[in-house]
Amino acid sequence: MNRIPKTVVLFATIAILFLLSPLIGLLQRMPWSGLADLLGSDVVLDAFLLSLLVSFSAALAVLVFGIPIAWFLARSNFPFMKLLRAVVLLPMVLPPVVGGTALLFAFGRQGFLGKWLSDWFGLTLPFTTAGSVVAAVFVSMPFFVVAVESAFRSINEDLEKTAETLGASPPKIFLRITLPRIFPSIIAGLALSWARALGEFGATITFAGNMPGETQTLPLAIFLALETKPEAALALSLVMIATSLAILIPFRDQWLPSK
Amino acid sequence: MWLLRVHKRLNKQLLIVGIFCLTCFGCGKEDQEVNIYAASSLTEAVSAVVERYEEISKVEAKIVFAGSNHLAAQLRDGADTDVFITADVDLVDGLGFESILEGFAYNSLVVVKPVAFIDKSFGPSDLTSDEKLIAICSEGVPCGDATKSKFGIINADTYEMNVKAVLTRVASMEVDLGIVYETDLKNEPNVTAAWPQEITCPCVSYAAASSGKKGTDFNDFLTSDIAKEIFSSHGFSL
Amino acid sequence: MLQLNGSLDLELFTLKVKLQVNKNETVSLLGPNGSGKSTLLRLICGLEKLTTGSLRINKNIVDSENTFLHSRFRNVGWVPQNQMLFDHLTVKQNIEFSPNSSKKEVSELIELFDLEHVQDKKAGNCSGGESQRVAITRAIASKPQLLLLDEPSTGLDEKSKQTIHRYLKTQKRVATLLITHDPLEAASLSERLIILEKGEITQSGTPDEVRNSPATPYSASLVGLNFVPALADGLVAMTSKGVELILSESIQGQVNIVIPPKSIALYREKPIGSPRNVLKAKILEISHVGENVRINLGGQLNFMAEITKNAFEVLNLHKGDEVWAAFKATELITAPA
Repeated sequence: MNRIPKTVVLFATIAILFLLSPLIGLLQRMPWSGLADLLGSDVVLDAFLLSLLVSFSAALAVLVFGIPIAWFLARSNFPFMKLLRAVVLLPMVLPPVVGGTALLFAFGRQGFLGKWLSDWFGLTLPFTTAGSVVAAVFVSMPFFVVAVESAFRSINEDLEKTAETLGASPPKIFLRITLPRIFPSIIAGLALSWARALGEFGATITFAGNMPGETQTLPLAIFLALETKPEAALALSLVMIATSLAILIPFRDQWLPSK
Repeated sequence: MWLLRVHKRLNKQLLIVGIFCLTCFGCGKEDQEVNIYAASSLTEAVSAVVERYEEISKVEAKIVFAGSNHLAAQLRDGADTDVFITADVDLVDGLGFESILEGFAYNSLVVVKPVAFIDKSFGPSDLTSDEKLIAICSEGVPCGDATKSKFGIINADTYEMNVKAVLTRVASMEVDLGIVYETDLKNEPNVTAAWPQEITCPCVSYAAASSGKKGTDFNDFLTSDIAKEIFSSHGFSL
Repeated sequence: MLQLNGSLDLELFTLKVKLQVNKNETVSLLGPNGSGKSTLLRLICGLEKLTTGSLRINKNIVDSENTFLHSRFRNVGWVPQNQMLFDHLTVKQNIEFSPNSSKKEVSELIELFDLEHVQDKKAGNCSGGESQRVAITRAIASKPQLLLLDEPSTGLDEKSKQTIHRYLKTQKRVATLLITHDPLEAASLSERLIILEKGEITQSGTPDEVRNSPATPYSASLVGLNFVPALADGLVAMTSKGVELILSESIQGQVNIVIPPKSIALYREKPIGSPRNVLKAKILEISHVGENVRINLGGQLNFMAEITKNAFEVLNLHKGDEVWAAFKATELITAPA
């Protein structure tokens, strides 16, 4: 049994109480009696299902595009790597509303890419669920990339080179050598970025708008409800917390990529 | 022994600093300021009214503009203000204000389009069709409730939290049509009426709730001729 | 078969090598640390590219000015210094990793290298000796045209070392280039030695050639350990020139014996009544090395003794003097040839 120094225990307790108190405050105000009705209402159901759809779709996109980005950042000899990495990580520090506005400038009807998408493919992203996914991907991608890039770096490249000398093909090397070693980081990064996508508000409301069933994810519904119907806001918050815990608790062991 | 002396000296110094602080930040300024919370649709008009008020009464004002619901929520959670000007009088309930001035100004709703679409024509049927991108206020906020009363169910693509957000959507051409206030139409050069419309109610009626002498004084000013002129020149009905 | 004649520019010096290793041949590569030995192996594997010159494997040009064959296609079995095992895979999965491997041969090799009892163990959990055997087996299982071993026995237990040596001596099919710091191992396993110093080959030849005429101080230091090939029969071993050496452990067959220079004591008169090995020799060279003195001796046996300055002065030795050299049987290091 590890003996943890008393000072550490003290600080940790203070920190944990600090993190727990808003949660306790929330639970304390919860209208437990009318909760069933509130939870069954259309608004809550729509927002819940939409949030699941958007956050998981975003997580999938982050997985598919994040691994190549992380690979490139970790292994390539691109001359402006520092700049590129800063750009990739920018959404992590950018205020989400600024991100959403920037997305409008790119993908909005008047945006330089949005215009082209609309003219050539008849596709509009703002005010659609796809738009919500785009906003979510934008803000959550950096979390995944950070985790996975560091995992790539921690692999001794000679390991893969040895596999090459044995005659293995690149796909085989990636699947049997590289991937198993970075897998814990992929899981941790994915959990982190999924959580970020779920909680995304500023970029979503700015870029995708607010429409029940289409773009009104749980955070948007909560924000609106806070002003118009506070008890609904509490019920929605409960749904969000329950959803987050349901996904994150099974991943608790994967937070730190260990062997 | 030495420690006690240092202690005493420190105490004296702290006391001086403390009094200094109080006079600068504590009692002095607050006495002279009137705190106002106002609905965002009144931004330009109330700012102008306040400017005149400050000149005339020599009282400084601090104004916060936001959606009426947002302001009410903050007041519910413990924020404090002398005057609360809202587009929905029901929001004042339970907030502990002493007096309420109802209906000192009205704002009608109008359907607007981006000014760049001047050559595109729209009609009332577009509000219920799927083809155009439409932004309106969300139900539950004053302009949203009023929109529903006046126009009924609309096939909107986004429900914004306050009227300024709707205005921005139209002004930036992200949507084709938006339902905003008469005053916004007047004050925003980037939008124009989507089709010829009458300025009628159902519309939004403003109420000003106040507490204390500073609040009441300001509220009185809201009904003065000067204020009335400012409101009407900004497009409000009286 | 390997043919290399080229150079590779490195940070500190240029690696400039001309060498050939034929089928069935084992060549040992020795040299001080940082001389470029591991880099040479990486070059042959295809992990580095020649700056000038060309590299051929089995007559095919794999590296030249306008060609470069990726390491994946060179079919070279490389065993790096730190094994590079796939820790998360089992021993068996490691060994059969190459697409060229065949199930039958993999089982045979596992048996040959004594890995049956660990074949389902995760490679990351293997001991040092097991890891090294796995790494070599894995390379061999890929049916390489060339085998490159980077210090295969360094730091291994005796048993693992023996297993590896046994394979390398009995299963010669493929050209093998092996890096070692142990001249005994080099002499034991290879027909030829190549000595690489600061990127250049300073000596190349049979162990005997190198021993008899070391070209550089480094070669001399290798030689300075006194290699003596002999035929052993129990506790006595006889050199080709008929010198008898007494061993401390019984052994049969061809052996290589090392007489550590510092274990040799010199006398003016033949020491009587000791169970040691005693040889008569003539002083060929005297050189001072730090606090000690190195004496090159010749006669029935050419070897080198290292004695203290004190001893040297007491004995009053000069070039050309006849002396008696004595050393204990227990000081000798014997290994099968």
